[in-house]
Amino acid sequence: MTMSMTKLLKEGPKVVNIGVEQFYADLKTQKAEAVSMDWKPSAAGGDLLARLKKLRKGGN
Amino acid sequence: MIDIEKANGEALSRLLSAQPVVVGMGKAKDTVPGMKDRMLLHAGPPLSWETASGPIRGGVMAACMYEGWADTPEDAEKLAAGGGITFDPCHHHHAVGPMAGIVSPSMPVFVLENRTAGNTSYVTMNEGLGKVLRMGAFAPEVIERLRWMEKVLYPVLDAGIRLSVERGQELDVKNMIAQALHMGDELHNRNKAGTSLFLRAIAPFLVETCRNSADLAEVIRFIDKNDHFFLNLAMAAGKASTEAAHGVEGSSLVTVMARNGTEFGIKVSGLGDDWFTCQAALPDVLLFPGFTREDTNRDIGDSAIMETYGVGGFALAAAPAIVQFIGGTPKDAANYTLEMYEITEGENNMFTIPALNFRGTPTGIDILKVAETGVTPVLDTGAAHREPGKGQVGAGIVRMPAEAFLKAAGAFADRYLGE
Amino acid sequence: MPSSHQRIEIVRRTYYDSVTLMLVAKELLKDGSLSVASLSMGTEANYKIMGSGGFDLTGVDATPNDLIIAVKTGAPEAEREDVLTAALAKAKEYLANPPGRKADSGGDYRPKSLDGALSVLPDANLALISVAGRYAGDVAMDCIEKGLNVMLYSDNVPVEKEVEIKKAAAEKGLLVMGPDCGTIIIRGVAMGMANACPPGPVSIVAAAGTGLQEVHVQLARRGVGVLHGIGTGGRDVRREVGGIMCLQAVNALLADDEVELLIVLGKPPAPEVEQKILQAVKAGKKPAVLGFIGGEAKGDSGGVFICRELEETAAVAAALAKGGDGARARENLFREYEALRQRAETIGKRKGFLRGLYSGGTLCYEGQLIARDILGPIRSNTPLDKKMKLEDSLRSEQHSMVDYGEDEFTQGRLHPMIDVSLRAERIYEEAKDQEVGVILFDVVLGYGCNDNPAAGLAEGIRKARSAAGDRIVFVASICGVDSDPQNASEQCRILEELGVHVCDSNARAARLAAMILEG
Repeated sequence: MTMSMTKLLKEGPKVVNIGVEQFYADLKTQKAEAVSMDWKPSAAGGDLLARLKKLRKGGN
Repeated sequence: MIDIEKANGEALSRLLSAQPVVVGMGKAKDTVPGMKDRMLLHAGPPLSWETASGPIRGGVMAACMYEGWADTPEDAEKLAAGGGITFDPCHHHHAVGPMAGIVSPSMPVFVLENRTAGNTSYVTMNEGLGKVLRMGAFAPEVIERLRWMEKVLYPVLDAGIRLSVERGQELDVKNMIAQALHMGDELHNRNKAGTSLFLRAIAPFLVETCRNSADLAEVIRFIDKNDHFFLNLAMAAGKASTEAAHGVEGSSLVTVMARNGTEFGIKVSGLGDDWFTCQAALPDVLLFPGFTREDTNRDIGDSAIMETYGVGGFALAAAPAIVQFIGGTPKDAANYTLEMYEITEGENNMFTIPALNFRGTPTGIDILKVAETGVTPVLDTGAAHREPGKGQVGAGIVRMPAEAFLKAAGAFADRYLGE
Repeated sequence: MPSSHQRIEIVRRTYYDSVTLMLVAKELLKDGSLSVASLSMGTEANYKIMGSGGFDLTGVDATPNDLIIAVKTGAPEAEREDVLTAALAKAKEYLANPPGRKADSGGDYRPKSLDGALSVLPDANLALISVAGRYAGDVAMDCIEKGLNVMLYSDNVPVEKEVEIKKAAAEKGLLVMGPDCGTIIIRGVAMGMANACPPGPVSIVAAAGTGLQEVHVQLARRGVGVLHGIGTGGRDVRREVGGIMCLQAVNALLADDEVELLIVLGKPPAPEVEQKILQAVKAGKKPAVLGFIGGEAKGDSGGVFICRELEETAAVAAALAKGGDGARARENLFREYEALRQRAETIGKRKGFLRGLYSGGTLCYEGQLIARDILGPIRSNTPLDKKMKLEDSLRSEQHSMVDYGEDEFTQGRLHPMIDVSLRAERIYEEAKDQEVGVILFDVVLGYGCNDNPAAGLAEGIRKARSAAGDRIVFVASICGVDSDPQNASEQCRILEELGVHVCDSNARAARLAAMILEG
């Protein structure tokens, strides 16, 4: 049950940084594996996003 | 409930398996389906004279004088404003046109056929640089050049193409695009390699069929001087390929992206004939000396078909020379392409980018991914002066506006969620 | 009608991260034509802060989704219009092209979508989320759906969302650290605001960011390293959330053969959660120290040490980790605390009020606990006793301690550990109050924090000295080590040169500060 969390503790962090760029820079300084997302709020409103999520799930 | 993944896979496969080749030429009135007298086709989604921008109006005026419907620009304006002309998007006639994209009945067009699915596409010959109809210019030299193209360029090219078809050696435009991508072209703002490859391929047929060496020399010089000659053919190849992907039930892939200088519009494979439109972007590009941002017309042209096809701005990583237009590093150019992978269905099977280890270009824009990520397609395009007759003011990177994609995503949800 | 010294412009329905806003404001001030420049989202809190900063906001109707650009100039009347117009134009230009942005990722591609990020780093196992709270919850859910553990640095995430996220994560065996979790250490790698200390046999589960930092640092000072420091966010151990993540982490660490000693840290949890933690820890058969800051003095419980303060927790744990006597370590520590009375005498007792200005929430909390025992009730924006709540966080009353990391200061603004200017200004304000005797503050170092907080605070201290001379005693603690980017010894030197009395821990600093004023 805790396999995924255990993986994190055993492998060390491999990080997707979403937000403050400084956190990504600090990870690189410590030679950790990381990628930094250029995140912006979706142009689609919450409503549309929810409907799109539904669409995605429906197909399979 | 539809399987979007499956539908998009199908649509993309139809796009990628298209094989557009040049099968002939003809006058628009004889060749382009639905072309009528006193009808002018134009780039982008539907418009009216009232809403038309400067470059479109200038192009319309030039076309009217070329056709002999009016003797002066003022008369042409009156004619157009008075409802004497029917306007229709090129896209409604399986055609495409760069910048103003005006096609009039007497203009000669290339005919391309998608050998895989059998559908055809049409495009005029590229006039060259400077004062040209597609940039909204309507001076006498513009009309003169159009007449020369009709009287000399067209017959010479037509004869050569007929021979190539007779011999079973049709010009394979898709193949030329693939090669051009490895030679520094991205096929929207840079078409130099493509033009060279085209000229190389057609030259023997021209030599064999043209009896008048003075005409032949003029034709070859004309093409040689016009680095963008290949663009029109590439656009028609794009049109034939993307149209083949249209009409797949449940597919959210974009099959048309086009601008008319006022509005930006898209069509989606699984959403029928509807256009989804919004105001076209105001380009913020590198300006030629003497021009300012105030002079720039809104984004214009069917050339966005190149990005819909998976090249142009999507292939910036392949065209380091373009970097001077964006004032960045080659890494910036590559990053644009990398970004486009996030909103496309897959990677192209034939168009590859050497700088990215020959990774296929991002192909098949998905409106749902655009809505979800907020990333819109990036185009590499020219910008026209807002006043008719003043020509091109600059070139560079332009982002497409999100609104049209959001409208389409909403319509997609309406149609396929069944609520 | 004289033209105004200020100009305010609202950009509607927009989103800019706080770092960008700070960078732009900084850039606007560079040419010296402006006296104040502020770019903030239109939250209630920011209205107040901008008001205190000298702006007149009557008639400004910005919402939290709108950006307020406010500029003020001391230029002579004839030039004001032009200066202010130019400044606003520059502000908007900078917003489109933030200065100093290029350096950030060194040209590395920054994916725009989670799928894009995972195509670049397919082995990713953790998402570090620090976007605005109203978006952060959904971003976290997306990450969990992709099988990523989550560090949710963002605060202002609704508790219903927190429960939803944690339940979904628990089902998949994933860890969600936060919301409002600022400090994480995994295999010695620091994330968020955390210190550069060497790894070792101890691991910590903390519902308290600066609590984790202080204990981490105090252990390092005693030569003991930390392998994992898992934050759960402050709300996890409350009844509504039920300690889901705290217990998941505690159980994982107890079962982990690399972990020799476990510390569980935070404000006292809800009783039923505390029970579960105690049960788990007792069954775990590993030495454990529970640091329930400000909890009742219950005494240790069958092999499990229970402490009430941060340095105490570290001292006991360090002793145990080295195979020593935890109880003895605790006794020694409190003896050292008593000796602080001598130091207070040497500095010279003062009359007046204590004003604590904190960037770390747990440190402020601990500071109040300690000072209250010596001076009586302390007022605060995060008081121990509801009755002691400050009416206006910007206005101290009697003995006060203010936590600058609280919502009213951080909504739409940078965290005080990154932007020290508000506190620096407040130090000066407090010094002008004739009734103030001691100003106490924390300096938190580490990754993610301001690169020279001591220098930033020094500005305020210098102005305070000119206003108050020797009337005020400055006491500080530095939560940091020499291997931190800021170098604790360097920071200490800067403060000591200004006559600040620097102590080895927050517990000592709070005690010393209170003892100086003890009647």
